[in-house]
Amino acid sequence: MAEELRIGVFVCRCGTNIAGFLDTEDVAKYAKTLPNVVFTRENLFSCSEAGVTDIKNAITENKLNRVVVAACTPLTHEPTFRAACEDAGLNPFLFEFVNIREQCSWVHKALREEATQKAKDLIRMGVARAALLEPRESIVTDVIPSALVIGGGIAGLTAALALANRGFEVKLVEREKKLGGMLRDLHQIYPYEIGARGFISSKIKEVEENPKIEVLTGHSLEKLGGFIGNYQATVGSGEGSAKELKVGVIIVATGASLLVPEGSFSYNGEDVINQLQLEERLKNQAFDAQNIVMIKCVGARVKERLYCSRICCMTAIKDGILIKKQNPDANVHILYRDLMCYGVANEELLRQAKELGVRFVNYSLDSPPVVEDGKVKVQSNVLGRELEIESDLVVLITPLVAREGAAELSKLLKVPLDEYKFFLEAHVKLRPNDFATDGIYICGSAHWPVSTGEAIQQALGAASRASIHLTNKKVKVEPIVSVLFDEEACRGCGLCASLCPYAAIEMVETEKGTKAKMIEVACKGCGVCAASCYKQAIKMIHYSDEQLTAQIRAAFQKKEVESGVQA
Amino acid sequence: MCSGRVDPVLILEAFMCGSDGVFIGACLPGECHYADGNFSTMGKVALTQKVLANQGVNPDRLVMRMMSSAEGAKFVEHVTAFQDRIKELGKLGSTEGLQPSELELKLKAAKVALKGKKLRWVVGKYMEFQQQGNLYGEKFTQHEFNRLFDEVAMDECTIQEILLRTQDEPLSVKNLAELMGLSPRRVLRHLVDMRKMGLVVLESDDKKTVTWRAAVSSAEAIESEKTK
Amino acid sequence: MLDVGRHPNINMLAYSEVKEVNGEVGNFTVKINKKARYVKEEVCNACGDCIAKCPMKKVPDEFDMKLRNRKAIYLYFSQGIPAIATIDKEHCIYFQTGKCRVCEKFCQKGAIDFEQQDQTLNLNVGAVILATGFDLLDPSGLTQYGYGRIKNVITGLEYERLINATGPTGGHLLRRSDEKSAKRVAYLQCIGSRDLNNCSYCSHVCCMYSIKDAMLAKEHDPDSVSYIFHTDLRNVGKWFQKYEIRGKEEYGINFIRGRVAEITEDEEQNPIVWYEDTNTHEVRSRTVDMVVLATAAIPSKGIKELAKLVGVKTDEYGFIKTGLPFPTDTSVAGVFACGFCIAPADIPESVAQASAAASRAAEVVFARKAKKRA
Repeated sequence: MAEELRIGVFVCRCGTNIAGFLDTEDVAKYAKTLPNVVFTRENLFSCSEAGVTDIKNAITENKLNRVVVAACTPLTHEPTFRAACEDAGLNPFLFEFVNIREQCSWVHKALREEATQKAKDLIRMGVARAALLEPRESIVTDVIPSALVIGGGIAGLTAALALANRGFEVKLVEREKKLGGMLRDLHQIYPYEIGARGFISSKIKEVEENPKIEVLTGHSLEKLGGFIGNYQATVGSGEGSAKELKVGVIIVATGASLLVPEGSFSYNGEDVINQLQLEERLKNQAFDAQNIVMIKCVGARVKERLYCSRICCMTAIKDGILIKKQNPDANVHILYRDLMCYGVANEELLRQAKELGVRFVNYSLDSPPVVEDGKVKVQSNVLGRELEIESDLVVLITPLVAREGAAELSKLLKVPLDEYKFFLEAHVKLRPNDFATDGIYICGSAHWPVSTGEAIQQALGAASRASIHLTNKKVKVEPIVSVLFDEEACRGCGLCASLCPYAAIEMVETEKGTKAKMIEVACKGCGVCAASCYKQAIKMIHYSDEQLTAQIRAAFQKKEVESGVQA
Repeated sequence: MCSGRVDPVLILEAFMCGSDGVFIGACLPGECHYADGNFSTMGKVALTQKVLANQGVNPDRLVMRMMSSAEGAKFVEHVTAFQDRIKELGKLGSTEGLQPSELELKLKAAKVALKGKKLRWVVGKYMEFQQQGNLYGEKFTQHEFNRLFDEVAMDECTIQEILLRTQDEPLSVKNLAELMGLSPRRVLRHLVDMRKMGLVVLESDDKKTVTWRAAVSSAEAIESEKTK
Repeated sequence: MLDVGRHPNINMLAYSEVKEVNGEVGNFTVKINKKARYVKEEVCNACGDCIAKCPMKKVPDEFDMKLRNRKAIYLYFSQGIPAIATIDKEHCIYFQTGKCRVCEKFCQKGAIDFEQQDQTLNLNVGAVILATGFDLLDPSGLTQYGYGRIKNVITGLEYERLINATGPTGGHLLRRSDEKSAKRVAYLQCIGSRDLNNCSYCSHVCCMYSIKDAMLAKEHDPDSVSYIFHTDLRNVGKWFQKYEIRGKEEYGINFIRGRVAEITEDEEQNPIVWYEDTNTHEVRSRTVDMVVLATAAIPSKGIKELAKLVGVKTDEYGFIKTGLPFPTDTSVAGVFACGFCIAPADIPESVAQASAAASRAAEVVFARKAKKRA
């Protein structure tokens, strides 16, 4: 049998903040008349020591089983009052907060009567909802203290080391036969005068020698089950030997590829090459050209690929400097649209290149350079005329593009891609290394072209984000989540799963057919699924249809309830 | 809880309780606290507005406005503008020329329609279709969506309204057309479809007038999925 | 911000300054001066009664770029944390004349404490992270732009306050000279940046924020016209190019490649921008209602002293030096840095760097914990 409802309402005066602009005494008196309310009290400050003690005592003395506080915003004091309930032996989710300060007294300072009436309305709504509140326990899940890092380039290596140094097990999966990624093919790392080969080799060695890191080269992710704290990842080499890994978190560090400019500007890989081929020649000391022309933005910032690849200006300038240092008599021309030498070190490099005699020619997209035999023709914006530049080597500077397989990986992980198939983080500004799905993190060029230094920063960043759950050993979630309330009714249509921004719903086969399954620890409680299910099979805990409907109905009840009182 | 939690049924609930307007505040586009829930709200609100319009209720009575928590002044501006507009429109039903009983029936039909599979599916897929296109990668334009919303909203509401009107007494096509302000042809077309789905049955007491009666309650119609 | 305020593991010491740093990686002692607010932090709930009653109304509001005044007791800004009022001793009538104490009288919580003293705190920590941000170059010295002399030439930050709905003009872009709304606005890039006589580096974020500013103006007033005078447009971040194109196509921003030589003023106090159009090589001028200067970002005030206290190296401009293999490590083991104090960086870079510094610091701190346990 349902227990008798005993609701206590506490009306806070907040000094003069509330009481100065509406009649709290009248409001409290009114609250007493509401259904199921057995106790009301006015406090000078409900949040003060005295106020909280008052609430606790009232709960025990009056056997209250629901508490409503009408005060300020839940942002500041919801934790205070929930704790007060808990201290008095009442489940904290049986507490309802009504905001009569920010939403009432402060915004209706000149309208005392109306503000008082509105406070009554708000409290009536709160009481109506409180009557339907249910006790809930926090959702806790254990976190397997190990991480899967996908990608063995500089980002993946850095992330793996950072986590291993913190004492966590790391499984590092690399699709290629060797670790190192793109840095293996590069000559030098800008803006530092550091050789790429030595740098990456020492990182690889460090990873290989670290007992906490298991390296799986030639492997890629084939299947993924589970959720934050408890993933089962199947990795395979494509030759039948699959391996199952149990990990708590996942870091994506799959990098990007360089666009090969097939068909542009007479690209042939010999005397018209891309910057990776140039790096290779420089690295192998096989570089002997005298007149070098580099053309920037080949395949970038154009209609089919609107984005700027961020790093190519600097790689071109760095290589220009290397060439000039190696052979001061060489003629290096860099044809550019905008010079993306952002920040301090990059601008310094640009200045150095200019000092060394690298020449820069500004062209526009509407009159691109023309590569001819032994020369490049370009319309210079600065000179306002066409230049003919002698050349025995043309380097086409192309952008980084998403790696092959990004789409498949995104489906396996259930994380989104952007229009160019780069991974899409939770928030491009504020959460650059998180996915909206908790437990999976992103770093490096897999989500946007970045320099080596930036990739390292992001890798450390992703490791830091991932380590939070690993360190806490548990994921604790507020139990304000969606649940499949009526499994019978669920038709397994999958609409909820497709709408969930956090991949917190999966469709599973059961004896009764396909059904939605909520992953409570991944759910953030937005309620989109509950508002979309056409079978009303999903219930949003703490903000259920019944609770919200009760509030709406209460909002418009005043005439009936009060007609007798006010007439 | 996200604005995406605002179930269109709750909006209708508010109107049925006597609200003259419903204002939904949400995060700025791209700044949703819940990733992208506010986009799904946009779809829900757009569809609910269509449904309201179809039922003869001024769709201005429902607005969604987006702002950040630091934009207090903007909030005041939006709410004031909304309040002014609602004052202009007066009590729900008044400027619409709907009698209370008629209004109740219209809103009830809308609420049931919004609870049902078809409308929820359309609005649920709104985002996906817009971003990724359908199975064949074809993207819908805003215009196409508007048309789709219009059509589905109209069909669903009309079906629900016919069911509500014929559940107690059988009515002729002519009666229904008059009551609903639709052409007899359209009413007949719906009735024929609904008969095929087993939602209405034909009755005739004498040989002159043919009347139609709901075979299921409107709630059952939604449950039974026959409306798909 | 709120998350920081509420986090159980974060002890926030606002209105405090580092005075001394001793020790070494894994074991630093940091001496901190926690300045007196003359308000009891644990009691004040930022209700604002004291601010409403404070009779000293004429203190230039630093948060609003001194475009309006605040009281002597104040909240730095309304969303700030911790939400605690502070008495500005320099301007407080009681502190200056010995009479007033109005705030004390009106505070129902009894939070005012005129006897409060600065406190010295000694913290023992394993690692230190520097994240002191930046300041903006005062463009008064660059006389060609007329800042300070021509009223309708303002800085980017002043613009931010003007266009902000909670700012001094309620979000209206009003000219300082005549309070009329500005319809034609020029945004000038590289003011002091990429300038060998001032800051030879690129400030990295101005191109984007100027586009944003121009978009805001258009959203606020559909009749407004904007001009962005730039050299290279360095929009290199994720989706930035798309943003630039949107600015051009949807908001009609006029992008003009050319460095501005001088700004003069006509008799209606309209600024006239003189520039060489690098595409046509002609010297041209354009009269506008307002000019917004994207001034160079410089290391924040006091960073020199701080760097000295901590012992970290700085570069020739005063930014804290970092490098490979760990771009958030400083020259002192156990001291890390992130954000603008290393070099200009946009938000996602700063966030990633912050997490990176946290990761490096965690390695140190957890190693120390493990050692303690052993």
